[in-house]
Amino acid sequence: MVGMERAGPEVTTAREAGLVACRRCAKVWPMGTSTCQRCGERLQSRDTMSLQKVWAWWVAGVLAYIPANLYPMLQTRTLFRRQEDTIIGGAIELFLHGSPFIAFVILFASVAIPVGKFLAIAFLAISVGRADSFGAGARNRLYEVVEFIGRWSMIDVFVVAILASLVQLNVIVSIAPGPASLTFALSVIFTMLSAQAFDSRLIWDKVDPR
Amino acid sequence: MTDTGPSAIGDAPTEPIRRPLWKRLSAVWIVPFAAVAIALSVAYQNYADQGPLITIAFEDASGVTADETQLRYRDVSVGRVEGVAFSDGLDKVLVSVRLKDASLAPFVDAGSKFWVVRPEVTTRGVSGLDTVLSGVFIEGVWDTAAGGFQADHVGSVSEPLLGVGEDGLLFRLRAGDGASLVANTPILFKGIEVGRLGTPELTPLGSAAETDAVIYAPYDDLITSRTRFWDISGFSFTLGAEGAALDFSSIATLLSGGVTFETLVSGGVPVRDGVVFELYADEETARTSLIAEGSGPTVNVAVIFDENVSGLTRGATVELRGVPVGEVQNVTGLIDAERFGDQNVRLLATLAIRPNRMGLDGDDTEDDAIDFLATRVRQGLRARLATASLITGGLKIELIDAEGAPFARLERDAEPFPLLPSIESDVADVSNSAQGVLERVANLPIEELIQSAVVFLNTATELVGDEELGRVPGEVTGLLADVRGVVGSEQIQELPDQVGAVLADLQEAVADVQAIVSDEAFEALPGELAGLVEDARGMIGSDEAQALPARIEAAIANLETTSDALRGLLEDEDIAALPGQLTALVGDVRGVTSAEAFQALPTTVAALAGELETTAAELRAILDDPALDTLPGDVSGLVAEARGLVGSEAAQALPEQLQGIMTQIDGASTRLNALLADEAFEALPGQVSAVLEDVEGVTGSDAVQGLPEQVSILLTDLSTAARDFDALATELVEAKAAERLLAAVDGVSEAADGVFTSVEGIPELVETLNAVAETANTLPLQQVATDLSATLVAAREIMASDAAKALPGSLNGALDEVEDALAALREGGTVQNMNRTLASAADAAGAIEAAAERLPQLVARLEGLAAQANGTLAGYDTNSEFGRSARAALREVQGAAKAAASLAKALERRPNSIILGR
Repeated sequence: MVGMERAGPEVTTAREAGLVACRRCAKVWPMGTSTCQRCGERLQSRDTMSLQKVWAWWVAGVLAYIPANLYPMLQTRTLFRRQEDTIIGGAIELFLHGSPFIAFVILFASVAIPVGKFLAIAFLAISVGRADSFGAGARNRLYEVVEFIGRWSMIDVFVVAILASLVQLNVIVSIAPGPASLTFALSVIFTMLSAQAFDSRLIWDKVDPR
Repeated sequence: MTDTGPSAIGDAPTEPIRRPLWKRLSAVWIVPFAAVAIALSVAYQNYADQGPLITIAFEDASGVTADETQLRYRDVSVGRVEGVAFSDGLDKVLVSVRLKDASLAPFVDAGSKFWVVRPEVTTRGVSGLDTVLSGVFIEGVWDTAAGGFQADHVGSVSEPLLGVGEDGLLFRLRAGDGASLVANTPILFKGIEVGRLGTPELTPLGSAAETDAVIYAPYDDLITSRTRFWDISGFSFTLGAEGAALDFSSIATLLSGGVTFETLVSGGVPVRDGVVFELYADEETARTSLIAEGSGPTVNVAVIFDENVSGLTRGATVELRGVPVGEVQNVTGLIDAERFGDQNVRLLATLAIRPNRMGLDGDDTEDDAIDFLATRVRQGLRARLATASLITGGLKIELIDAEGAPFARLERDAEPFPLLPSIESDVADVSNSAQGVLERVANLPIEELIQSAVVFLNTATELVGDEELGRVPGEVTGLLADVRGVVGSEQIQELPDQVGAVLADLQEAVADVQAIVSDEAFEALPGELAGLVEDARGMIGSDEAQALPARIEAAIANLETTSDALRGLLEDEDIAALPGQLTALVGDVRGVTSAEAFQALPTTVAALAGELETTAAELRAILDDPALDTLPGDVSGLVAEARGLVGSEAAQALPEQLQGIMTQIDGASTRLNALLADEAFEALPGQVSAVLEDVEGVTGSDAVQGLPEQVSILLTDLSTAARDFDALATELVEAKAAERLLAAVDGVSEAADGVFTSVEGIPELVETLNAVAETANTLPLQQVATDLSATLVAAREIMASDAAKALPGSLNGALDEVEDALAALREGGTVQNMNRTLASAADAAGAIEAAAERLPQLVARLEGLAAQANGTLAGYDTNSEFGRSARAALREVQGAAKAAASLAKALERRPNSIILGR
């Protein structure tokens, strides 16, 4: 809002100037240029397929997130028992065993963040065509946050991978990734691709009064 | 988005172009669609591939967790537990298992078995260790033949003996006396494990312990009906005459136990699954059982005894008419108030009967044997307790045909075995009567008997060894020699000649007599005699005379009776004693004959014969006298006178009087009979015997010994008399003896006249005789006999006053008594029994002796054993290498065990401690 008010009247977009910027090397070219002469990137003033891609990846991510929560993330075999924990089940168990902080971290990293991303991307994709309520600057920041967090969303999978490789004491205890870890990773990847597919320039198109 | 831009910039590429739908869609849409497609296909695949749900009912499903516990087949997971629930009555745990692979379903048929595999630590080792890490799992076993899917199964408590793909013989082992069944004990054959036992369990009613057992193929061919199993677990220590022996098969069996077997006798038949074998405590028992049992199947029957008698044990024999036909398998108490109406404890005995011992064919089935028993029971067969051993009080069971027993039948449907009716036992009777027998034996006066026998034998020895008796044969021989000496003496040898001379003289005398007889006067004699005979006949023909024979007959009959009585007397035992006394008498007689005077007898006799010869010659001379010629005439006259005498009335009355006398004699003889039959008379022989003894004493007296001398003197006197006679005869010849004879005959004639006159007085004489006879008849003969008897008794008593003389009688009596006693003993068979008893005692003594001889050896061996044991123990000295090593090893094992225990405890408490490092 603030940005919008602040930059509002004076800002001229590249599109309005008849230019198209390369999204890789940021050199602008006259509208109509199909490829960037400097880096060879295909030039497109607005990605018309952007929202479709966002939604496609988003759906795939959500689909992958379902089994990621239903199937066990971690298979733990100790001397006396064999345990398979889903993400939420493991968190609850940790909480019950007196480790609420770790439970909170797991819940935050594996549930709150992915779900938040889904919601954020869905919100951006829906609100991109409307110029109301939420300021374009805020939405852009939200997008940036989503993009930033995306690369850290794999931390769960990393933990599983590290544990599985480190804790291999064969008989006494061993940990193996469960099927959920794969789908969780897929879900993260799909979400990241979804966020990446979003053309943030579209946010501003609706803001433009002209 | 497309409405403003293009209008301003014209043909900008951003101008939206209406393109077909597929061109307006991003290719990225493939991804979610593919994801959905994959998810759907996977879901479908899962659904299509998922096997059927089976439900297994377990008694106990500890450790089985839904969604986690696996179902394994050949150690491969083939399913997963989906749910754990209870049955309707909460008595079972129903475990639902989802088979992973539907293609397995047809194999999970009715023959499938399921059990929960848990970690198990036994003496044999640790099993199911993998479940420690993975949690319990359910193991399933089914054969390789598809038999149609079955959804509901009942789980086994433990692992079946025959696992997957294993083949073998499944049978049952029943624990015998002293043998114990331990679950999972291996069955070893020559040290190789060829099978194992299952979990032991009690039979219903708890009468025996049984277990399933298996011998794996191909070793199952080793098992036949003659195979015997025995326990080789633990160790055995025997201490016997052969020394001490410590025996155990292996350390493994020492810890885990073991069972082995051997087919001890060939000829067994192959067995089928389900056969029951008995497990014996040791090899020796197994071997003896084989000999004792013979072969053939057993039939189990039960008997309930009302008495609760101790002494019946397992293995006691069951006898049918004394033949062992089986044994007692088990004895338990039984209280059944409903059935018997009281709370008394009854004896329930389970019998194993061998039908082939009862003469049934070995091929007969159990039912045939039961049929046989049922028939016999209808005929009166009953079971009862009987004493097997008087010493130990052990009991056996007899099958007997009880007569008059109330009707009963074999209860075929009784549980657990057909019930055989029983009758009251005779245990109490046996013990009582045995006690009675023993008491009677103890009361037998054996010592007194032996003492009497010893005394008797001593006395007999003394008697036989007596010098007097020893001399008897010698004396008899001497007597004969003396007699021979007498007979062989010259005088006796001359006797025949002298006798011959006497005879010659007599012949001449006879010739003279003949001459006299041929005289005329003599011619008349026959006529006179005839007349005399006539008279006599008349006299005899009288009635009285005719009645005489009958009387004589009666008298004879009486005499017969008398003789019988006499015979009876003779048979009297005292008479039997007479010979002995006669022997003594002979001895005395011999003493007499051996006297010098007796020896002189022949000479005297010879002298006598000489005198007689002389006398005969004299007589001849007298006969030759002419005066004798007139003799016939005189004699004739005499006879005539005699005839007159006979014909006289007095003579005629004689028969009557004679008859009277006969009557009197008859009566006297009758009374004599009565007298003989009298008791007092019975005692006579004995007294006679005693008298004989006395006579013996008398003959032995000096007076008798002096008798021969007196006889000799007498004979000398006789000889002198003969000589005098000779002189007389000579004088007669000289004094015209014939004339004198004539005169004498005249005198005779006169005398006959006198007689004739005196015959007149004969009747009076006869009367007098008769009176005498009567008097005799009325005489108190019996009194006399009694008096005589008394006199004899008195005499005997006088004689018996000498103690030495009484001894033989007493000995005799004593011997009689001993003989009686011995006869009584012989009749009672006591002596034989005693003999046997003594023989047994001798055997026992011999055995004890032999044992005693071996005792030192045994002691020596024991000492040796003790020394060895001492040495062995010394080997365990604390300082020895072995001891140190063993202690160290034990300490290490202890430490390891402690560590393992604590680790296990910690992990159990906090499984995540490993992960979390706490």
